[in-house]
Amino acid sequence: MTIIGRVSRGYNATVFSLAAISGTIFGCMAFLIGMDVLLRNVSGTGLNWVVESMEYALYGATIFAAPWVLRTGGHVSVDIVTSSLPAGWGRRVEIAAGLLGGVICTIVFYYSLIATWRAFERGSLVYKTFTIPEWWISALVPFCMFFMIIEFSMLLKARKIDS
Amino acid sequence: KEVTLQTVSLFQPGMVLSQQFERFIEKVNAEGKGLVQINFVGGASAVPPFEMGNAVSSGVVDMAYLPSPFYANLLPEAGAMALSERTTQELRENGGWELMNELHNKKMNTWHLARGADGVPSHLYVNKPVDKADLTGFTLRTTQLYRAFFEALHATSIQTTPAEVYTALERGVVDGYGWPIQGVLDLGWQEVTKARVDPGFYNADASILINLDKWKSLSDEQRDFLTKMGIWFESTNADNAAINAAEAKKQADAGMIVYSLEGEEREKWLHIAREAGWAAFEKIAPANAKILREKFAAN
Amino acid sequence: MLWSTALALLIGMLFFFLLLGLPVAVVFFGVNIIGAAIFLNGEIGLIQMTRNVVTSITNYSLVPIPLFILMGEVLLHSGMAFKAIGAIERLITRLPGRMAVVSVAAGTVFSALSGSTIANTAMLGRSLMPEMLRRGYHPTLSMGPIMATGSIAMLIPPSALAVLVGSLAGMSISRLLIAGIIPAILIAALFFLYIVIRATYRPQDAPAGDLPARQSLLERWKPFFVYVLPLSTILIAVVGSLLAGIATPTEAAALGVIASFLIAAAYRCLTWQALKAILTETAQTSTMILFIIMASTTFSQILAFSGATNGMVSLITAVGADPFAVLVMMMLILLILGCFVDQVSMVMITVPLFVPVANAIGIDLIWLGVVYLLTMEIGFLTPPFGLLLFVMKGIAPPEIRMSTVYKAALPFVLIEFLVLVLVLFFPGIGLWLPSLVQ
Ligand code: NA
Ligand code: NA
Repeated sequence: MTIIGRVSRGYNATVFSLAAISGTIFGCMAFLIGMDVLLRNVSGTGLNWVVESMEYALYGATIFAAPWVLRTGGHVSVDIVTSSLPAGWGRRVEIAAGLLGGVICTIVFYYSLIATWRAFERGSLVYKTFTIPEWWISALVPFCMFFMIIEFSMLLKARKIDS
Repeated sequence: KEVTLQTVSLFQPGMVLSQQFERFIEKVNAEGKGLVQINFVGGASAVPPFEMGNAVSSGVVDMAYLPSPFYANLLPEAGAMALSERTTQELRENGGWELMNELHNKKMNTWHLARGADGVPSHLYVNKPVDKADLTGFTLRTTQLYRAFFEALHATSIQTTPAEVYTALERGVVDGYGWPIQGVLDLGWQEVTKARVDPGFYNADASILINLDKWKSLSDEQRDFLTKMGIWFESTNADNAAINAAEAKKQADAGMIVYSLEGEEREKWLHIAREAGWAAFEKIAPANAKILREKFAAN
Repeated sequence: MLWSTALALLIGMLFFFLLLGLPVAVVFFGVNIIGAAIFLNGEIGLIQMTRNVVTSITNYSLVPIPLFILMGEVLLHSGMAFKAIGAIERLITRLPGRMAVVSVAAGTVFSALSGSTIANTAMLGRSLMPEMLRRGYHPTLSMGPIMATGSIAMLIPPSALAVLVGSLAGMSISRLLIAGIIPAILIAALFFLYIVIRATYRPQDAPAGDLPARQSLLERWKPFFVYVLPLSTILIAVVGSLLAGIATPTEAAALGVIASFLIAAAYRCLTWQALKAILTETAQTSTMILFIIMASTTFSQILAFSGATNGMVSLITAVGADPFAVLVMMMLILLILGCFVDQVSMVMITVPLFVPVANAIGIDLIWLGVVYLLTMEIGFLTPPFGLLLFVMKGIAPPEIRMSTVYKAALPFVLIEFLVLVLVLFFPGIGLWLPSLVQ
C-alpha cells in the first residue's frame, strides 16, 4: 500500500472514530444526568460534577462529529439555487462554495489557534467545579477546524473528478 | 477631540445592580461632551458574560462593567475585592487600589478605573430554618464565590445555571443559595424563597475596566476627566446602604422572613466566611494573596 | 456606518452565502468573520469570535436538545414505533380516509415521545406511506398528513427546537415547552377534520376498500395494550413531569431517554444494530443543530456592536408601534424566512433583534415563543426550502415529483397558518396551559 493510501485510511478511521465517540457521549449523557437526579432525590447528595461535565460533553460531542457530518452531507444547507441551475453552472457554484467553505474554515482555524496559544501562554485557568487550563478547552476548536478543512478539500477533489 | 468608548456591562439595564453604572454613563455623557462619550452597546446579550473580561482585555470593547468572578480566568487576584472589608475610599488611600490596578494592568491589559457595588453584602437565602453557624443537611446552589464558605459550614453545594435555580428551589432540589442583598427580586426568586439569613458577608464588586491600550491612547485631559468620574462613581457607593435597606424591605413585602444569627453564632458565621474565603483565595492566587489580604481585609 | 446599512449588509451577506449552498454553520462563520473584522475591531474580534464558539455551547440549558432527539431515534430504530402504528391502525376503523387519519393519530402520539421532526416524519413515512400508495390513496393524501403531523413533533414536548428557542431567547424553557401542547392538539384535530371531509367528498382520493378483516374486540385492542400503552411511561416521564412542575427540562429529557431505552429493552428491540443506528442518527441531527449554534452566536454580538439592535429597538419604540402590530410583523418576517432557510437559522437570525424589541414594548415572551414555534413548523413545509419536504421526497418512490410533494403539504400549511392566526387573536390558546404551572 502506498504512503498516501495509508495516510488516507488512517485519516478516515480517525474521522469515523471521532464520530463514534460523539455518538457514545450523546448516549451516555442521559444516564449520567439520570444518576445525578436519582442520587439527589434518594441520598440528598447529587453528583457535583455532572452539570459542568455535561456542558463540556455537549461541546466535545459536537466538535468530534462535525467533520464526519460534513462528509455525510448532514449539515443542513440551502441548495435551492444550486439544484435549480443548469448542470454546468451548478457544478461551478458548488466548487466555488467548496472553496469558500475551505477558506472560511482556514480563517477560523488560524484565529482559534491564536486564541488557544494566548490562553496557554497566559496560563489561564477556568475556575468552576473543575479547575482546568483554558487552552485544553479552546484547543478543540482548531482541532475541529483542521478536519473541516480537509473534508472541504476532499469534497472539492471529488467534485473535480466528477466533472 | 471627542472619543467614544464602546461599553458593555454584565447587568441588563433596569436591574438594581445596573443602576449605579447607568448613572455613571449618564454623568459622563452629560459632562464629557466634546471630550469623552460612552456608547453603551448592551448587557450580557452583547458579549457572553464569561467573555467580557477577554473582550475588554483584548480591545473588542473599550470599557466593561464586570464583577471579578467573571474574569477570574484572567485575573484571579481580582477576587480580593469580593472579600474586601475596606471602603473604596480607604483602598485609594492605603494603596489597595493602586496594587489592584497594577495587577489589572500587568495581567489583564486593563485600567481599573473604579469599583462599584461596594457595601453590598451577600446573604444566604434558605427555605429551611437556620439558627446556628452550621449548615449540615443543607443542599445549596453555589457559585465559586460562596462555595468554600458553605462547604466549611458542612453544606452540600451544587451548581446549576441561573435559569434552573427557580425550579430547583420550587421543588426543593436545593434548600437555598447565596446572593447579594440586591437583585433577588430582579430574578423573581423571592417567589420561591422563604427567608434570608442575617448577617450578610463578603462584598459585591463590579469594576469599571478600560482596555489599557485605549487608556494610554487618551489625552491627559481625557484621562483626568475619567479618573474624576471614577472617583465620583466610587463616592456613590455610599448610596448602597440605602438601596440595601430598600431591597430588604421589598424582600419583606414579598413575604420573605429573616433568620438572624446573634452573639456567638453570628461571630462564628462571619469568621468562617472570612477565613474560608481567604483560604480559597490563597489557592487560586498564591503569589499575591498575602499582600492583597493586608490591603483589603480589615486588620 | 448607519445601523440600517450595517443590518442590510449583514443580512445580505448571510443570504448570499446561504444561496451558494454552503452548510448553514459555515455560512454563519463566514458572515461572522466579515462582521467581526468590521464591527469588533478586526483581528481581536476574530479571536473573540473563536472564543465565543466555546461559551455558546458549554451551556447546560442546551443539554435537552440531543436528548430529545435521542428519544425520537430510539422510537424509530428500535422498531417500537412500527408496532405502535400497527396497533393504532387496528383501532381506527370505518372512517373516511382511514389510513390518513391513522397517520395523524400516530403522529400526534409520537410527538409526545420524540423531539425530532425528522425522525417522526421518517417513522410515519416508512411505515404508512408505501401501504397507502399501494391501497390507491392519492399521493397528496398519503404524503401530506405524514409530513404535517411529523412537524407537530416540535410543538409537543419533548421538542429540541422549543429548547433552542427558549434558551437563546431567554424564555422559560419549561413554559415554552408546555405552551405548544394545546396549539398542537388543535392542529391535529383540524387535520383530522380536513381528511375526513376530503375523503367523504372525494372518495377516489382515499379508497374505502381498505378495511382489515373483522376482528374480535380482544384482537383489536390487545396490540394497543401491548405496544402503545407502555409507551405512556415515556409520556409521563417527559410531558407529565414538566406539567406537574417537578422536573427541569434537562431532567425531564434524561428521564425520557432512560424510559425509552428501558421500554425498548423490555420489548427486546434493542439490538446492537439498532443501538448503532440510534447513536449515529442522534450524533448527526444533534451536531447539525449544535454546530450552527456554535457558529452563529457571534452574529448577535455583531448585530449589537453594529448598532442594529439598539437602532431597531429605538426605532420601534419611537414610532410607538402597537405591540400586536409588531408581533404580526415579526410573524410575517418569520414566515418569509421560513420559506428560504432552516429552523435553526430562523432563530439565530431573528432572536437578537426580536427579543430586545419584544422586551422594550412589552410583548409576552412566551406568546412570541409560540409564534416562533408555529412559524418554524410551517417553515418545515413551505417551498422552496422545507426540510420535511426533502425528507419526504427522500422516502417517497422516485416517480413522485417534488411539485406533488409541495401540493401535498399545501392544505396542511394552510391549517397550521389558521392556527397561527388564532394564536395571535387568542393568545390564551398558547398561554393558558403554562399559566397553570407554577
Ligand atoms: Na415532541
Ligand atoms: Na420552508
